[in-house]
Amino acid sequence: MHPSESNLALYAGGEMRLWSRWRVARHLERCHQCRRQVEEFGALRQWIRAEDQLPAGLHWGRLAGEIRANIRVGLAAGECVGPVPEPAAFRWRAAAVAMPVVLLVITGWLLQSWRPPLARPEAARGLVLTATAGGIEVREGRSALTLLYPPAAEASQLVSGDAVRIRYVDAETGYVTISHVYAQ
Amino acid sequence: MRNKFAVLLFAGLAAAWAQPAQRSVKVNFPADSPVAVVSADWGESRESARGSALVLDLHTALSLRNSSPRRVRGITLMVRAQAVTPGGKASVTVPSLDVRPGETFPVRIDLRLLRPQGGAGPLVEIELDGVLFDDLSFFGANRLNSRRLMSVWELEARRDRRHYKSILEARGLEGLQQEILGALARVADHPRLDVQVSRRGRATAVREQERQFAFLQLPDSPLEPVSGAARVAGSEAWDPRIEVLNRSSRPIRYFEIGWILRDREGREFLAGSVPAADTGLNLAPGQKSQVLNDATLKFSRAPGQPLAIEGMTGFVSQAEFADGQIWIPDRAALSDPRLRRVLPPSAEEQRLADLYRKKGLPALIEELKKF
Repeated sequence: MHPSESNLALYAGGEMRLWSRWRVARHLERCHQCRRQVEEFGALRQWIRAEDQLPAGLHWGRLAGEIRANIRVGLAAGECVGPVPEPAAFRWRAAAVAMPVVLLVITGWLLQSWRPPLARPEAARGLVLTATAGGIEVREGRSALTLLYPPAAEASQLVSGDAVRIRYVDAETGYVTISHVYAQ
Repeated sequence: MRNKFAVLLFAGLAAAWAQPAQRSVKVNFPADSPVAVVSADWGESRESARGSALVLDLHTALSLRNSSPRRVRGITLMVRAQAVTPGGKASVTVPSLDVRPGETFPVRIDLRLLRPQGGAGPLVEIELDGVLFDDLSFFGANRLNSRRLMSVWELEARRDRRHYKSILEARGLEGLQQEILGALARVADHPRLDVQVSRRGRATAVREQERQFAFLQLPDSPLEPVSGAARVAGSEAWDPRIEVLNRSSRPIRYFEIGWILRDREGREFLAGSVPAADTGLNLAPGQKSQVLNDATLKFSRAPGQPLAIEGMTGFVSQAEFADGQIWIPDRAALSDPRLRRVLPPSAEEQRLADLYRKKGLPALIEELKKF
């Protein structure tokens, strides 16, 4: 009996429990058809992962603002062309009805293809130090080194020149710990 | 036979589990180090994939032994991830220690690495940057200026222990309790700012303004801030320039100016400090010098709540004379209501307050008696 399609998908993603995984692997050794399906699931996962990458440093707040603004422009443009003079001929009336749809399609296409310029092109390329509630981080492109601290700790953070510092009392050792990240 | 197989299986699984941390971290202490690594516990370190990136969570407690004949007062470990952030590094310092010769002490390092998958070799290198002893002597490469930093924290610790001892003598147990409760309240109430520092570029297109610094003059400071300004746009500040005058009788080779920000509601926050250049400064008595910084700082009170900078105040927070002696503000200067409101308690005060919170007044008194 063949394993179910969902089990094959779980197997392809390496998300099965040990025993079930062993049973499916045994079946795959002798079933060419299921093996091919597992390979397809694997290839699909890789494709989805590759397609799912977003540009680094995407400013979601700004992007949302741009989308809202573009929708408003689209709606306003739709209203502008909406009222058609009474005496217009039938064929013009049809064109006027179609115009908002066309505008909507164009706006959608623009939103899909046009990426608003991010306002941090320089900083994104260099080293960026960040201090937040979770820790202090030095980031370079898509790589980052973060020094963490216990969320419950009462921490104070400071900037000193090209370094960011955080200070807290380690609950386990009772020692004050001072962590730094540097952009030197 | 079955038992042997089970032991081998267990050992194999244990080795595989421990592999990510041990493979990823290299601990490097010099051969003549006065502090030796006794053991390293990798605890719950783990490696996981996130999309096309690799996330490595490292939680280690290094057990170190003082193999020198002097008491250790502080230690700084440098953390580097050359393959991840070639230009950046990090450090973990434990000040306010009192480790006798032969004693062991723990240093915890909790870090997370995020990097594209692939690559080989150790991801993280942990090196000794410096050890400070009770006579203020120092051992180490000092690549991160840990000598000066740890000396400042040690002097602050001595100043604050003296203060608490004098309170105990003058006002008794009740006075000490009130004082330490005040420190606890200041630790808890200290306003926290999220901050981002970048070397180039600004994040907003808001119109920039040149804002002048106001200055808090500390009476016994060897330096006097004369003038200063920085460029500000919204929650960002950059290009601070502060001119100071050496009013002491000795040359000065380093100093820092504390930087207080004021928002639209009139609340003040300690943002950090603007340091003088690390090398080459020799400010003679009566001469002026300027501190400059090319980093752009962006502040927010919480994620999504940028701090609108309305005003800035500076004060001299430390100075180092050419002979290596260090000046820090005394307790009288720190009792200025404005400074008291924005400055967090010192590292030592924070440690003593935490000790009082966990173990009570007798433990605090016992700790003060140790020094």
